[in-house]
Amino acid sequence: MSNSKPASVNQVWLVSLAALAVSVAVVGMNLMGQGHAAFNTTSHGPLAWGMPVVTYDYFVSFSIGMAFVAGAALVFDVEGLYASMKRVLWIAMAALAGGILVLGLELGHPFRATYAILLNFQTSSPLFWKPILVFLYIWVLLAAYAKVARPGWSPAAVKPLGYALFITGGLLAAGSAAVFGLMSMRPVWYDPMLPVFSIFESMILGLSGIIVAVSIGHGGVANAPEPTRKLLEGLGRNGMALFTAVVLLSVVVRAWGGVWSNLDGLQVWQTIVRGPLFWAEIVALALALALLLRGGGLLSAAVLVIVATFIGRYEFVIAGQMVPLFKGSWVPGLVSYAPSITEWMVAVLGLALNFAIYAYGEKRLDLSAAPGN
Amino acid sequence: MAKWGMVIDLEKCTGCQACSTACQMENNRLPGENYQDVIYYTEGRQPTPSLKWFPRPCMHCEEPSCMHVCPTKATFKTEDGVVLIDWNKCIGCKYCMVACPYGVRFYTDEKALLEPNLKDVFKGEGELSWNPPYKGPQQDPAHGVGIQPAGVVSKCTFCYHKISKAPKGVPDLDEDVAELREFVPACVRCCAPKARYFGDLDNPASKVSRLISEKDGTRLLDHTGNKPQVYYLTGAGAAGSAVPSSRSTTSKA
Repeated sequence: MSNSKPASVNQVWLVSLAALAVSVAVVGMNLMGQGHAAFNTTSHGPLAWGMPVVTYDYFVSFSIGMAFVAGAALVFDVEGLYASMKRVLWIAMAALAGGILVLGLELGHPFRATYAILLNFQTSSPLFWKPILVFLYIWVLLAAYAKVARPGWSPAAVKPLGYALFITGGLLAAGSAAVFGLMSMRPVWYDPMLPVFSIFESMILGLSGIIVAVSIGHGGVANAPEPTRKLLEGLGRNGMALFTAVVLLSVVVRAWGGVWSNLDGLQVWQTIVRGPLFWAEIVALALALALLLRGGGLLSAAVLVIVATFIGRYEFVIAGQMVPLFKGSWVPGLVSYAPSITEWMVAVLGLALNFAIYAYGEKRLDLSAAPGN
Repeated sequence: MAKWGMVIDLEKCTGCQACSTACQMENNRLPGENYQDVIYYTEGRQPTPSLKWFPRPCMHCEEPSCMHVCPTKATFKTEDGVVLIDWNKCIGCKYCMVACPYGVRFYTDEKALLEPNLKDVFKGEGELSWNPPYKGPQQDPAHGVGIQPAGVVSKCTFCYHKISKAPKGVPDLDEDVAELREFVPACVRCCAPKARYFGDLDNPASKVSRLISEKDGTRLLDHTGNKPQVYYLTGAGAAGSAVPSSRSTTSKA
């Protein structure tokens, strides 16, 4: 292990390994002992998708965000990010790995899924296209990483893959959103514009991710190489402020419309806006926006955005399933749900895997390798 | 080929839940996993509230959203109009549960609704989720019939193990016709007030077709475009009267 890395990298490495060990133990014991009964999802609530789906979906969005950052740097010749290109792509792969692991723990038959989806060709299902898009996206990520991992890599040679990152990332973001946005029977989810919102959300996640990664990798943005520091403090800050404002506005407008509407199903919004999570999301996004606009606390703003978007994703996925269906012996009020310990630990497991892979890369792979180095 | 469908006369239904019980027995279902539920609810407020109930099998839709979203084609529609699940193909992603507007699907690897958990008392062998002391004679995983394996989703099959053996060309499966009795879905056969009818929706001579036509049969949540093959007779002919109108805006306790 290299000792030249900032202490923050070693801290992340150790904490992520510890979290990985604890979460593997808890999740393994509970899932082997109880199966999916260890989750609080239920058919008689009903609420089919809980915290694991939220986490998986979030990690995919995060990964796409990182791919957007890499793609933007390559397509628009943003030289300030060249030195972070390897890091960005590595994090995108780490986030995807965490997400896929979490999905595997959520599915009833994960190994069957690896072949049954492709072989049966159900083209009308968004969940047929999503794995295909994930596959294409992984292929482009790996190809781009392989190029920038070569000593003295050439930005011009990788540029076509920058376009490919944009295209496959954008398609995957849209495809992921379509899984929810096409569900007309779930009014909270149904929204043809959801893929656009999803792309903006991925953008702020990508920008936040690179800020956090540079902070860890260099012991703070201020310690980063000059071109990277200037870029993040300038274009990065302004871009993130713009996209954060768009996401904040979208969240507010969606809630506003939900509260105003009397469409059966949208009454869920009346419950959501009375809850603390919704306001935590709004306050965190607003605070991040204020920090970005006032010129301070870049890392704080990034962390706030990362937390706020996770809360938002959780609220969105759960809220879409809160209207009771025709099930049970008495028509219930809105479905209530709180993740079980196992579900929380599944999320921790995915997160810990992300950070462990990332920290391993920082320690072993020279993620700051610049072109021509 | 028949297009099997059901008619439920809400003016006759007494909410006795014999249909639910019969279905539980026939398909080895546990509490909280009823293919056939009768949902109770109140309409109106004091001083004039009224208690109502609403029987809900799977709608076996003409355009089932559950089938369209299933990424492995595990959910499929038979030639005779029945929506089934091939448990050998199901990956347990639960997208069908999310996409079904009626809530008729079950993923049973969950916390038991009642204790003791009978799945722990009668532990299943191999992939089967439990091993009940009484089992139906059928185990047909390719059609989602029998004891549900772990990690897959299940639903009402219109008692496919019965209706698929019915003589071809009969307009109705009526429990009053002795030679057809064994082919009648359990919920229909056990309906004490005879509020349920099962037959060929494409046959204009069938009783179900005539009832739908004469009594203005209506379908639940027709606006979703799923086109259920279960019709309700409400007396009023209005779709809304079959749906609880007073949805709560608060979480249940």
